[in-house]
Amino acid sequence: MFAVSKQTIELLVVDEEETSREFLRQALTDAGYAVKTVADCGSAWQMLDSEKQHFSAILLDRMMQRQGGMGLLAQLKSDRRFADIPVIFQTDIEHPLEIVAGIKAGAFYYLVKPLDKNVLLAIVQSAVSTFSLSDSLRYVANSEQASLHNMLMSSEFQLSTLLEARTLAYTLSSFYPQPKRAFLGLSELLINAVEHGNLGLGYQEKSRLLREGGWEDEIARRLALPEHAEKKVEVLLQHSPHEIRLTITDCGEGFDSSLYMEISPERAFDLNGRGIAISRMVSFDTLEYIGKGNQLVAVVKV
Amino acid sequence: MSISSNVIGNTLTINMTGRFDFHVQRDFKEAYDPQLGNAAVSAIEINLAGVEYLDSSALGMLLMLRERATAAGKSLKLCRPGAGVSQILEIANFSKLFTIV
Repeated sequence: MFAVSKQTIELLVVDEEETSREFLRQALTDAGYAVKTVADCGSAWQMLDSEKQHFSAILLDRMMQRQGGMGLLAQLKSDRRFADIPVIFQTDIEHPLEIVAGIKAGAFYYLVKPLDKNVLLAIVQSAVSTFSLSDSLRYVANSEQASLHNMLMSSEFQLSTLLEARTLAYTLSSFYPQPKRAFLGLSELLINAVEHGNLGLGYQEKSRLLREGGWEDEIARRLALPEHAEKKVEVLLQHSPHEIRLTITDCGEGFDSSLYMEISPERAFDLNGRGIAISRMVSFDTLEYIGKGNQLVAVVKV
Repeated sequence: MSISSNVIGNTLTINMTGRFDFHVQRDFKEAYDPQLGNAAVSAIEINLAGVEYLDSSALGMLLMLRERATAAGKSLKLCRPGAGVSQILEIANFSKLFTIV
Protein backbone atom coordinates (compact mmCIF):
# COMPACT_ATOMS: atom_id res chain seq x y z
CA MET A 1 0.00 0.00 0.00
CA PHE A 2 2.91 2.35 0.64
CA ALA A 3 4.76 1.27 -2.46
CA VAL A 4 6.89 4.02 -3.89
CA SER A 5 8.17 3.94 -7.45
CA LYS A 6 11.67 2.51 -7.21
CA GLN A 7 13.00 4.97 -9.77
CA THR A 8 12.60 7.78 -7.30
CA ILE A 9 14.30 6.14 -4.33
CA GLU A 10 17.81 7.39 -3.68
CA LEU A 11 20.33 5.62 -1.49
CA LEU A 12 23.67 6.80 -0.16
CA VAL A 13 26.50 4.30 0.27
CA VAL A 14 29.43 5.27 2.47
CA ASP A 15 32.28 2.77 2.21
CA GLU A 16 36.06 3.00 2.22
CA GLU A 17 36.64 -0.02 0.01
CA GLU A 18 36.09 0.38 -3.69
CA THR A 19 35.08 -3.28 -4.25
CA SER A 20 32.47 -2.90 -1.55
CA ARG A 21 31.10 0.31 -3.04
CA GLU A 22 30.88 -1.34 -6.44
CA PHE A 23 29.16 -4.45 -5.11
CA LEU A 24 26.56 -2.33 -3.37
CA ARG A 25 26.11 0.02 -6.31
CA GLN A 26 25.56 -2.93 -8.64
CA ALA A 27 23.20 -4.87 -6.40
CA LEU A 28 21.11 -1.86 -5.49
CA THR A 29 21.00 -0.37 -8.98
CA ASP A 30 19.91 -3.73 -10.38
CA ALA A 31 17.08 -3.68 -7.87
CA GLY A 32 15.95 -0.30 -9.21
CA TYR A 33 17.37 2.20 -6.74
CA ALA A 34 19.35 5.32 -7.62
CA VAL A 35 22.66 4.99 -5.78
CA LYS A 36 25.30 7.54 -4.80
CA THR A 37 28.55 6.31 -3.31
CA VAL A 38 31.19 8.14 -1.30
CA ALA A 39 34.39 6.93 0.33
CA ASP A 40 34.39 8.84 3.61
CA CYS A 41 32.15 10.48 6.18
CA GLY A 42 33.17 14.03 5.29
CA SER A 43 31.99 13.59 1.70
CA ALA A 44 28.83 11.91 2.94
CA TRP A 45 27.97 14.87 5.12
CA GLN A 46 28.72 17.33 2.30
CA MET A 47 26.43 15.46 -0.05
CA LEU A 48 23.60 15.35 2.48
CA ASP A 49 24.07 18.96 3.51
CA SER A 50 23.89 20.19 -0.08
CA GLU A 51 20.34 18.75 -0.14
CA LYS A 52 20.58 18.12 -3.86
CA GLN A 53 19.45 14.53 -3.28
CA HIS A 54 16.71 13.23 -1.08
CA PHE A 55 17.99 9.97 0.34
CA SER A 56 15.62 7.36 1.68
CA ALA A 57 18.33 5.30 3.38
CA ILE A 58 22.05 5.40 4.10
CA LEU A 59 24.36 2.38 4.11
CA LEU A 60 27.34 2.97 6.32
CA ASP A 61 30.31 0.65 6.40
CA ARG A 62 31.90 -0.62 9.57
CA MET A 63 35.31 0.74 8.70
CA MET A 64 33.57 4.05 8.86
CA GLN A 65 32.67 3.30 12.42
CA ARG A 66 36.24 3.48 13.53
CA GLN A 67 36.85 6.54 11.42
CA GLY A 68 33.88 8.75 11.96
CA GLY A 69 30.91 6.49 11.19
CA MET A 70 29.49 6.72 14.70
CA GLY A 71 30.13 10.46 14.59
CA LEU A 72 28.24 10.72 11.31
CA LEU A 73 25.36 8.70 12.78
CA ALA A 74 25.16 11.03 15.77
CA GLN A 75 25.27 14.07 13.51
CA LEU A 76 22.45 12.70 11.36
CA LYS A 77 20.26 11.86 14.31
CA SER A 78 20.61 15.33 15.78
CA ASP A 79 19.78 17.13 12.52
CA ARG A 80 16.05 17.42 11.90
CA ARG A 81 16.58 17.24 8.17
CA PHE A 82 18.13 13.79 8.35
CA ALA A 83 17.15 12.30 11.71
CA ASP A 84 14.48 10.07 10.25
CA ILE A 85 16.57 8.64 7.41
CA PRO A 86 17.24 5.01 8.30
CA VAL A 87 20.93 4.21 8.59
CA ILE A 88 21.92 0.62 7.88
CA PHE A 89 25.36 -0.13 9.01
CA GLN A 90 27.49 -3.00 7.86
CA THR A 91 29.50 -4.68 10.47
CA ASP A 92 31.44 -7.67 11.46
CA ILE A 93 29.97 -10.39 13.61
CA GLU A 94 33.27 -10.44 15.51
CA HIS A 95 32.43 -7.07 16.96
CA PRO A 96 29.11 -7.45 18.77
CA LEU A 97 29.83 -4.35 20.87
CA GLU A 98 29.88 -2.31 17.68
CA ILE A 99 26.47 -3.67 16.77
CA VAL A 100 25.04 -2.76 20.15
CA ALA A 101 26.62 0.69 20.09
CA GLY A 102 25.30 1.33 16.59
CA ILE A 103 21.76 0.31 17.39
CA LYS A 104 21.73 2.32 20.59
CA ALA A 105 22.94 5.34 18.61
CA GLY A 106 19.99 4.99 16.27
CA ALA A 107 21.07 2.74 13.41
CA PHE A 108 18.05 1.17 11.78
CA TYR A 109 19.62 -2.23 11.31
CA TYR A 110 22.89 -3.98 10.64
CA LEU A 111 24.15 -6.17 7.85
CA VAL A 112 26.91 -8.64 8.40
CA LYS A 113 29.76 -8.97 5.95
CA PRO A 114 30.11 -10.87 3.69
CA LEU A 115 26.82 -9.46 2.46
CA ASP A 116 24.06 -11.71 1.27
CA LYS A 117 22.39 -9.92 -1.62
CA ASN A 118 18.87 -11.08 -0.70
CA VAL A 119 19.26 -9.96 2.90
CA LEU A 120 20.70 -6.64 1.70
CA LEU A 121 17.72 -5.98 -0.58
CA ALA A 122 15.17 -7.06 2.03
CA ILE A 123 16.66 -4.79 4.69
CA VAL A 124 16.93 -1.85 2.29
CA GLN A 125 13.34 -2.31 1.18
CA SER A 126 12.14 -2.44 4.76
CA ALA A 127 14.16 0.66 5.67
CA VAL A 128 12.87 2.58 2.69
CA SER A 129 9.22 1.72 3.25
CA THR A 130 9.49 2.66 6.91
CA PHE A 131 11.06 5.95 5.88
CA SER A 132 8.45 6.84 3.30
CA LEU A 133 5.80 6.65 6.00
CA SER A 134 7.71 8.68 8.56
CA ASP A 135 9.01 11.10 5.93
CA SER A 136 5.52 12.05 4.84
CA LEU A 137 4.34 12.29 8.42
CA ARG A 138 7.34 14.42 9.35
CA TYR A 139 6.87 16.70 6.38
CA VAL A 140 3.25 17.31 7.21
CA ALA A 141 4.00 17.84 10.87
CA ASN A 142 6.89 20.25 10.34
CA SER A 143 6.15 21.96 7.10
CA GLU A 144 5.67 25.67 6.81
CA GLN A 145 2.16 25.60 5.53
CA ALA A 146 -0.99 27.09 6.90
CA SER A 147 -2.20 24.72 9.55
CA LEU A 148 -4.84 22.27 8.37
CA HIS A 149 -6.03 22.48 11.91
CA ASN A 150 -7.13 26.08 11.33
CA MET A 151 -8.70 25.51 7.95
CA LEU A 152 -10.44 22.19 8.31
CA MET A 153 -13.63 22.24 10.27
CA SER A 154 -14.77 18.71 9.80
CA SER A 155 -14.23 15.78 7.50
CA GLU A 156 -16.33 12.70 6.99
CA PHE A 157 -15.43 9.30 5.66
CA GLN A 158 -16.97 5.90 5.10
CA LEU A 159 -15.15 2.62 4.90
CA SER A 160 -15.80 -1.09 4.87
CA THR A 161 -12.55 -3.05 4.53
CA LEU A 162 -9.43 -3.55 6.65
CA LEU A 163 -7.31 -2.00 3.93
CA GLU A 164 -9.50 1.09 3.94
CA ALA A 165 -9.25 1.22 7.73
CA ARG A 166 -5.48 1.26 7.57
CA THR A 167 -5.35 3.77 4.72
CA LEU A 168 -7.72 6.11 6.50
CA ALA A 169 -5.75 5.78 9.74
CA TYR A 170 -2.68 6.97 7.87
CA THR A 171 -4.53 9.88 6.23
CA LEU A 172 -6.23 11.03 9.43
CA SER A 173 -3.02 10.84 11.45
CA SER A 174 -1.64 13.68 9.35
CA PHE A 175 -4.30 15.98 10.82
CA TYR A 176 -3.05 15.44 14.34
CA PRO A 177 -0.25 17.37 16.03
CA GLN A 178 1.61 14.10 16.66
CA PRO A 179 0.80 11.88 13.69
CA LYS A 180 2.82 8.83 14.73
CA ARG A 181 1.17 8.81 18.16
CA ALA A 182 -2.29 9.15 16.62
CA PHE A 183 -1.79 6.49 13.96
CA LEU A 184 -1.71 3.58 16.40
CA GLY A 185 -5.05 4.44 18.02
CA LEU A 186 -6.72 5.35 14.74
CA SER A 187 -5.67 2.06 13.23
CA GLU A 188 -6.80 -0.01 16.24
CA LEU A 189 -10.22 1.66 16.49
CA LEU A 190 -10.99 1.64 12.78
CA ILE A 191 -10.06 -2.03 12.47
CA ASN A 192 -12.22 -2.80 15.51
CA ALA A 193 -15.15 -1.03 13.89
CA VAL A 194 -14.80 -3.24 10.80
CA GLU A 195 -14.13 -6.65 12.36
CA HIS A 196 -16.12 -6.47 15.60
CA GLY A 197 -18.65 -3.79 14.67
CA ASN A 198 -19.71 -4.36 11.10
CA LEU A 199 -18.70 -7.98 10.65
CA GLY A 200 -19.86 -9.12 14.08
CA LEU A 201 -16.74 -11.07 14.98
CA GLY A 202 -16.93 -11.75 18.69
CA TYR A 203 -14.14 -11.71 21.24
CA GLN A 204 -13.95 -15.46 21.79
CA GLU A 205 -14.29 -16.17 18.13
CA LYS A 206 -11.39 -13.89 17.36
CA SER A 207 -9.24 -15.57 20.00
CA ARG A 208 -10.00 -18.93 18.45
CA LEU A 209 -9.18 -17.74 14.93
CA LEU A 210 -5.91 -16.22 16.10
CA ARG A 211 -4.96 -19.40 17.87
CA GLU A 212 -5.96 -21.78 15.10
CA GLY A 213 -5.09 -19.53 12.20
CA GLY A 214 -7.56 -18.19 9.64
CA TRP A 215 -8.41 -14.78 11.06
CA GLU A 216 -7.67 -12.94 7.83
CA ASP A 217 -9.57 -15.49 5.76
CA GLU A 218 -12.57 -15.23 8.05
CA ILE A 219 -12.61 -11.44 7.74
CA ALA A 220 -12.46 -11.75 3.95
CA ARG A 221 -15.23 -14.35 4.01
CA ARG A 222 -17.51 -12.16 6.10
CA LEU A 223 -16.85 -9.10 3.98
CA ALA A 224 -18.09 -11.01 0.96
CA LEU A 225 -21.39 -12.03 2.58
CA PRO A 226 -24.50 -10.24 1.24
CA GLU A 227 -25.64 -9.32 4.76
CA HIS A 228 -22.51 -7.21 5.25
CA ALA A 229 -22.18 -5.87 1.73
CA GLU A 230 -23.76 -2.48 2.36
CA LYS A 231 -22.30 -1.87 5.78
CA LYS A 232 -20.07 1.11 6.29
CA VAL A 233 -18.12 2.46 9.21
CA GLU A 234 -18.82 6.20 9.49
CA VAL A 235 -15.91 8.36 10.55
CA LEU A 236 -16.21 12.01 11.51
CA LEU A 237 -13.22 14.18 12.36
CA GLN A 238 -14.01 17.56 13.85
CA HIS A 239 -11.59 20.36 14.55
CA SER A 240 -12.14 23.13 17.01
CA PRO A 241 -9.56 25.52 18.47
CA HIS A 242 -8.88 23.32 21.45
CA GLU A 243 -9.39 19.79 20.32
CA ILE A 244 -9.60 17.26 17.54
CA ARG A 245 -12.62 15.04 18.02
CA LEU A 246 -12.98 11.70 16.26
CA THR A 247 -16.32 9.91 16.10
CA ILE A 248 -16.47 6.37 14.73
CA THR A 249 -19.82 4.65 14.24
CA ASP A 250 -20.26 1.05 13.14
CA CYS A 251 -23.31 -1.03 12.21
CA GLY A 252 -22.92 -3.50 15.03
CA GLU A 253 -24.96 -4.30 18.09
CA GLY A 254 -22.50 -2.62 20.42
CA PHE A 255 -20.75 -4.11 23.44
CA ASP A 256 -19.83 -3.43 27.06
CA SER A 257 -16.82 -1.20 26.54
CA SER A 258 -16.09 -0.80 30.25
CA LEU A 259 -14.41 -4.21 30.24
CA TYR A 260 -11.81 -3.10 27.71
CA MET A 261 -10.74 0.36 28.82
CA GLU A 262 -7.89 -0.94 30.91
CA ILE A 263 -5.41 -3.73 30.44
CA SER A 264 -7.08 -6.50 32.37
CA PRO A 265 -5.10 -8.92 34.54
CA GLU A 266 -7.81 -11.54 34.01
CA ARG A 267 -7.15 -11.43 30.30
CA ALA A 268 -3.38 -11.19 30.61
CA PHE A 269 -2.88 -14.28 28.49
CA ASP A 270 -5.62 -13.63 25.94
CA LEU A 271 -4.38 -13.14 22.41
CA ASN A 272 -6.69 -10.17 21.81
CA GLY A 273 -8.50 -7.52 23.77
CA ARG A 274 -5.86 -4.83 24.26
CA GLY A 275 -6.47 -2.52 21.31
CA ILE A 276 -8.90 -0.17 23.03
CA ALA A 277 -6.82 0.22 26.19
CA ILE A 278 -3.69 0.88 24.19
CA SER A 279 -5.45 3.42 21.97
CA ARG A 280 -6.78 5.17 25.02
CA MET A 281 -3.44 5.28 26.79
CA VAL A 282 -1.13 6.04 23.88
CA SER A 283 -3.05 7.97 21.25
CA PHE A 284 -5.89 9.94 22.75
CA ASP A 285 -6.57 12.17 25.71
CA THR A 286 -10.06 10.79 26.16
CA LEU A 287 -11.90 7.84 24.65
CA GLU A 288 -15.46 6.83 25.37
CA TYR A 289 -18.14 4.64 23.87
CA ILE A 290 -21.61 6.06 23.43
CA GLY A 291 -25.03 4.45 23.62
CA LYS A 292 -25.04 0.70 23.12
CA GLY A 293 -21.36 0.81 22.24
CA ASN A 294 -21.34 0.99 18.47
CA GLN A 295 -20.12 4.56 18.54
CA LEU A 296 -16.99 6.04 20.07
CA VAL A 297 -15.63 9.51 20.60
CA ALA A 298 -11.88 9.99 20.90
CA VAL A 299 -10.40 13.39 21.65
CA VAL A 300 -6.93 14.87 21.41
CA LYS A 301 -6.55 18.27 23.03
CA VAL A 302 -4.47 20.78 21.13
CA MET B 1 8.14 -5.95 7.67
CA SER B 2 11.01 -8.21 6.93
CA ILE B 3 11.70 -11.19 9.13
CA SER B 4 14.87 -13.20 9.05
CA SER B 5 15.89 -15.93 11.40
CA ASN B 6 18.96 -17.90 12.19
CA VAL B 7 19.98 -20.63 14.59
CA ILE B 8 23.37 -20.18 16.23
CA GLY B 9 24.24 -22.82 18.78
CA ASN B 10 21.12 -23.50 20.79
CA THR B 11 19.45 -20.16 20.08
CA LEU B 12 16.91 -19.28 17.43
CA THR B 13 17.09 -15.54 16.75
CA ILE B 14 14.25 -13.92 14.84
CA ASN B 15 15.16 -10.48 13.50
CA MET B 16 12.29 -8.18 12.69
CA THR B 17 12.45 -4.86 10.93
CA GLY B 18 9.66 -2.49 10.01
CA ARG B 19 6.04 -2.51 11.12
CA PHE B 20 4.87 -5.30 13.38
CA ASP B 21 1.14 -5.37 12.68
CA PHE B 22 -1.60 -7.76 11.62
CA HIS B 23 -0.05 -8.26 8.17
CA VAL B 24 2.85 -10.08 9.75
CA GLN B 25 0.94 -12.99 11.29
CA ARG B 26 1.74 -15.70 8.83
CA ASP B 27 5.40 -14.78 8.33
CA PHE B 28 5.99 -14.48 12.05
CA LYS B 29 4.56 -17.91 12.74
CA GLU B 30 6.57 -19.42 9.92
CA ALA B 31 9.74 -17.98 11.41
CA TYR B 32 9.44 -19.99 14.63
CA ASP B 33 7.12 -22.91 13.97
CA PRO B 34 9.64 -25.16 12.23
CA GLN B 35 12.11 -24.79 15.11
CA LEU B 36 9.70 -25.63 17.91
CA GLY B 37 10.25 -29.32 17.29
CA ASN B 38 14.04 -28.94 17.08
CA ALA B 39 15.54 -30.37 20.24
CA ALA B 40 18.85 -28.62 19.61
CA VAL B 41 17.17 -25.23 20.05
CA SER B 42 16.55 -24.34 23.69
CA ALA B 43 16.27 -20.55 23.48
CA ILE B 44 14.31 -18.19 21.26
CA GLU B 45 15.16 -14.50 20.97
CA ILE B 46 13.12 -11.92 19.15
CA ASN B 47 15.26 -8.99 18.01
CA LEU B 48 12.96 -5.96 18.02
CA ALA B 49 15.67 -3.36 17.38
CA GLY B 50 14.43 -2.65 13.86
CA VAL B 51 10.75 -2.58 14.76
CA GLU B 52 9.40 0.92 14.20
CA TYR B 53 5.83 0.22 15.14
CA LEU B 54 3.93 -2.41 17.08
CA ASP B 55 0.18 -2.69 17.48
CA SER B 56 -2.11 -4.77 19.67
CA SER B 57 -2.23 -7.63 17.19
CA ALA B 58 1.54 -7.94 17.51
CA LEU B 59 1.05 -8.34 21.27
CA GLY B 60 -1.25 -11.27 20.57
CA MET B 61 1.33 -12.83 18.27
CA LEU B 62 4.02 -12.54 20.92
CA LEU B 63 1.73 -14.15 23.48
CA MET B 64 1.00 -17.02 21.16
CA LEU B 65 4.72 -17.56 20.65
CA ARG B 66 5.18 -17.48 24.41
CA GLU B 67 2.58 -20.23 24.84
CA ARG B 68 4.11 -22.37 22.14
CA ALA B 69 7.68 -21.81 23.30
CA THR B 70 6.77 -22.73 26.86
CA ALA B 71 4.97 -25.85 25.69
CA ALA B 72 8.04 -26.83 23.69
CA GLY B 73 10.34 -26.23 26.65
CA LYS B 74 12.18 -23.30 25.13
CA SER B 75 13.04 -19.99 26.77
CA LEU B 76 11.95 -16.73 25.16
CA LYS B 77 13.40 -13.24 25.25
CA LEU B 78 12.33 -9.99 23.64
CA CYS B 79 15.41 -8.01 22.73
CA ARG B 80 16.28 -4.38 22.16
CA PRO B 81 12.86 -2.76 21.79
CA GLY B 82 13.03 0.91 20.78
CA ALA B 83 11.32 3.66 22.74
CA GLY B 84 7.90 3.49 21.08
CA VAL B 85 7.77 -0.29 21.20
CA SER B 86 8.90 -0.32 24.84
CA GLN B 87 6.11 2.05 25.72
CA ILE B 88 3.49 -0.29 24.32
CA LEU B 89 5.04 -3.36 25.93
CA GLU B 90 5.04 -1.49 29.23
CA ILE B 91 1.39 -0.42 28.94
CA ALA B 92 0.42 -3.99 28.17
CA ASN B 93 2.30 -5.20 31.26
CA PHE B 94 4.45 -7.41 29.13
CA SER B 95 7.43 -6.96 31.40
CA LYS B 96 5.54 -9.20 33.80
CA LEU B 97 5.09 -11.89 31.17
CA PHE B 98 8.28 -11.70 29.15
CA THR B 99 11.99 -11.34 29.70
CA ILE B 100 12.77 -8.10 27.93
CA VAL B 101 16.42 -7.20 27.47
